Amino acid sequence: MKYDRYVTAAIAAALAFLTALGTVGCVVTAFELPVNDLALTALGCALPALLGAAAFSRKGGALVAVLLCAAAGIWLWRQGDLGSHWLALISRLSAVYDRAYGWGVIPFNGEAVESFHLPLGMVGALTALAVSWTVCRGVSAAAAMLPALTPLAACLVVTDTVPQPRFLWCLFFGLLMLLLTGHTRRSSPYQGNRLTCLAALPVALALGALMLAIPQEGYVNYAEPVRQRMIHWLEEAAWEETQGGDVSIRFVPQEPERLELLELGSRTPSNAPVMWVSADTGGVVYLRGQDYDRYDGASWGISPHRVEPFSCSGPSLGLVTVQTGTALERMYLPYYPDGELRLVEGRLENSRLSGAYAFTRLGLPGDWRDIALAHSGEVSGMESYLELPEQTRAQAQTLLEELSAGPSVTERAEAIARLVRETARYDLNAPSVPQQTGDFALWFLEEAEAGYCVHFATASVVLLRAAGIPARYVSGYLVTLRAGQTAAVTGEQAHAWAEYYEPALETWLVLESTPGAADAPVYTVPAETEQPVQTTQPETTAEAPTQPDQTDPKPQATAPAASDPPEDRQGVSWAAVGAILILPLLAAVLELQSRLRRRLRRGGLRRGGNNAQALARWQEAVLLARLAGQTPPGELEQLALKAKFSSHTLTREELNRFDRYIRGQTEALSRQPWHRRLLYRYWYAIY
Amino acid sequence: MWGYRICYLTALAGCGLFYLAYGEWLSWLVLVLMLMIPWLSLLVSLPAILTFSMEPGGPDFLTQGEPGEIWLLGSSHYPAPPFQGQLRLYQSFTGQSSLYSDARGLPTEHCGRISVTIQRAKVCDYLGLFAFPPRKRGQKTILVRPVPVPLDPAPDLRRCKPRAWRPKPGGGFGENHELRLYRPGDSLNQVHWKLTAKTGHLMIREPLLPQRGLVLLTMNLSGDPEALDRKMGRLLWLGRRLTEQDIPFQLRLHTAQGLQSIPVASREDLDRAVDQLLSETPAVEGSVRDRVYAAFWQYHIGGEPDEV
Repeated sequence: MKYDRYVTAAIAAALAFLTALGTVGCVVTAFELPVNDLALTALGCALPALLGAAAFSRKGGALVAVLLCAAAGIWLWRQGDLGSHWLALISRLSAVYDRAYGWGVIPFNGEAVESFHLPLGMVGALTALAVSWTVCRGVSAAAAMLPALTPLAACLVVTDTVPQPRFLWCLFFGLLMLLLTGHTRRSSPYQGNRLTCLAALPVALALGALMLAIPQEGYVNYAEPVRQRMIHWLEEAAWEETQGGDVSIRFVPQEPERLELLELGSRTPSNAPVMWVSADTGGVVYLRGQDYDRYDGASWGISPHRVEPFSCSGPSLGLVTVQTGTALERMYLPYYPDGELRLVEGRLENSRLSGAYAFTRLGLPGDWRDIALAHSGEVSGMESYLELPEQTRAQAQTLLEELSAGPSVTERAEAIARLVRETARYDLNAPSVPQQTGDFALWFLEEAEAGYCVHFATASVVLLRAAGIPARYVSGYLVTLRAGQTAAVTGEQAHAWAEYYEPALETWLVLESTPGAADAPVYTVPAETEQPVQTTQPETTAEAPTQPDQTDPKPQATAPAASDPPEDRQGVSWAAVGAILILPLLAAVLELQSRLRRRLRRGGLRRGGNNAQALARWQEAVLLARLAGQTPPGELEQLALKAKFSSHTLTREELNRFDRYIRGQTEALSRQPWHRRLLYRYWYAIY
Repeated sequence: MWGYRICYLTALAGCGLFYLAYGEWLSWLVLVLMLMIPWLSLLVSLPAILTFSMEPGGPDFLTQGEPGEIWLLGSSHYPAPPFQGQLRLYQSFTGQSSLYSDARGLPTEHCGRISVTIQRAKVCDYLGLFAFPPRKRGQKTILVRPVPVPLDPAPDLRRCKPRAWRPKPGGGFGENHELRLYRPGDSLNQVHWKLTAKTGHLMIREPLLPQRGLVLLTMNLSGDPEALDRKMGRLLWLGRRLTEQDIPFQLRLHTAQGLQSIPVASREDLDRAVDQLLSETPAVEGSVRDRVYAAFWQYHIGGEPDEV
């Protein structure tokens, strides 16, 4: 009994520590809370885990634990910082929620808190105590679920916050073990301990495999199509109900009027189809939705009443057809649409509410690059596309000092694109912008280590403007098409890029600075592609073609463009490192569980009176005989029956008969082939 | 188990709805984890389920009227997973079959044999979401022994006492002995030398054994449960009286299997014989009295309340 109690306490301490660490780690990493010393916080989880396990495994220990916790709470309270730390933490969390949902921020007027280890340590302590109580007292796992899952639920409902997988692993491992062993532990603590030892390895491996199989980087939102179908179905049902009344068309804004850069964080693009595009000429096609010209360091805006042409003269690249199903308020334009099109406030309004439209795409002349490189003239008359905050301009020009490029606008622009591309790595899980950030582009260029297209495009535009090149930020979609084939465009293909004005060509060119994205749109007729099938005048049509999977595009909550092809996720190298680390870990865990089970079994053989020991030895003898393919001796069976049913107490000599048999069988099994010995050692934990 | 399943399905539905509404990676991970949990539980439970055996537990013997209870015992080489089942009882003397409940306990109002079988047995995974029939299922027999019922008036057992003696074959020691003249063939060890000296004739001291006749107890193992209770009780009472007085006897019974004869010489023999009778099936027709037995002393145990 005593030995069992120690094992139960050890298991309770381990599970409590893992669960508490997972809970605290999830909150810290999800909300990016500043914690000076993570080791101290981990210690804050470990101490209550040990205390709880030691206290709850003894009679009357709960009172001791409560008294100790109360004393610790009073001591912390008297330090004077606890209340302000809690208020600061709540204020900080409310700010995150406010950013996501606009619920408002709970004000905190005290001094800025540099580290939240006190309140987080209390959360961890509470979780550890609850788990210890659950394991030691054999009560339902629900008691531990509540404190452990509440912080996880808090992380779940905020869009931009994702806890680190290692902490999720710890939390899920602890909770799964509690769930799996709860029923057995309530029936028998000894059997619960055995089950914990048996299940630990499969659960750990399964969770590890789950984490590896569902990486955050390659996440595909399967819910979006289903949700869109449901919305579509509900809308149809509602429309059928209101037949005969006025039919209204709902516009879903694709790009916001103002793009708040400081609210950017990690992004998970939707894979729901937004539109269907086909082109007579294959290749990379940029579909331009909206450009932004006003930059204030924290956001992109659109100047009102801005009207300008968007076209060029060159060879035709064929027709590009766009079907959006539901009419959108703006059209998505390829580079470059034929005809005298004028952009109003940076976009082409879909004034006829067309669900499908087509443009004849014109390319640049075949020698456009030579023309551009030959021109070294300055640009004039486009001052609005050169505007920057003064401080931003000064710092950006400092960054450009070391830039070496030719005199032409295109050469300088391409050098800037290279500079920006090398600034940071591509990652959809880009860190959130720090609160004190003055200028988004400068923060990205100087401090950030990762970003996605919005980051790279903004930085490019700022550097272009600082270099005196008119530039603007453009949001739309980047699609790779095959000639004559229709492709679905999803949220994953949303993209942002920079446009700079090339005076030699008197047109706006795409500057791609996002790593891994296409270098530039197909401006000219590709040699290997067929000639355009037809050339038509720019036209739009109000007739939306029948599209079986028409769905509304997903509204963008923050940035309009979010996704573009990642450059290098380093999946192979991480997998190799993971495999190298996992193999010795696996071997260690195997050895550990085998040793632990052996110790538990040997403890069982020495526990209780002679009759109880005899019954435990009999079970061992039955197992060994079964492994050896034999029947246990009848003499031992008689002794076991005697131990179980008679009031006679077995003598030491009678117990020794069991021991002799067990020793003999163990030695016999140890002479089996090596693969059987491995099985006996690690699966049956015989020796 | 349905409670566990409902809890799980509720949690799964909640995670599914949350994923549909939220759509982010973490909600997807939680949903996949929820989907994975039953299979993980099944994987962990599989060795225990495959080696699981179930049997009824409880006493082997009870005395009539003594309260008793039984339970389901599950065992496995691994920590036993949750299991459930129903215990069906069959009383051989009353022919009644019923499901066991803790509130009612075992039906020990009548003596006889209670056969306990397991039905609707299920062994579940550790989370209680999947249920399988166990591979090994045992059964149990509980004997409800009768309470001795005294016969009033009691039969005169003096008639069973031996009234004649016979020489002990092979000689040796005997409580009683006879003195007689020597006959050729007698062993010299048997010669009573003192008496021979006194009488002048060779005298032999011959050990004797009591000349016992067949003591026969007959009984028809038939009738309603109350009659069988009385018969078995009287048999037990009379049998104990006979064994206490060191009178061996023979039980001759008419059961469903026909006529049976059980020799009884000691208390242990009597208990074994009663246990054997409790396991027999009562006869529907026929009687042990249909035949005539050459017995020194015969007593028929009837089941009537006032029968002597």
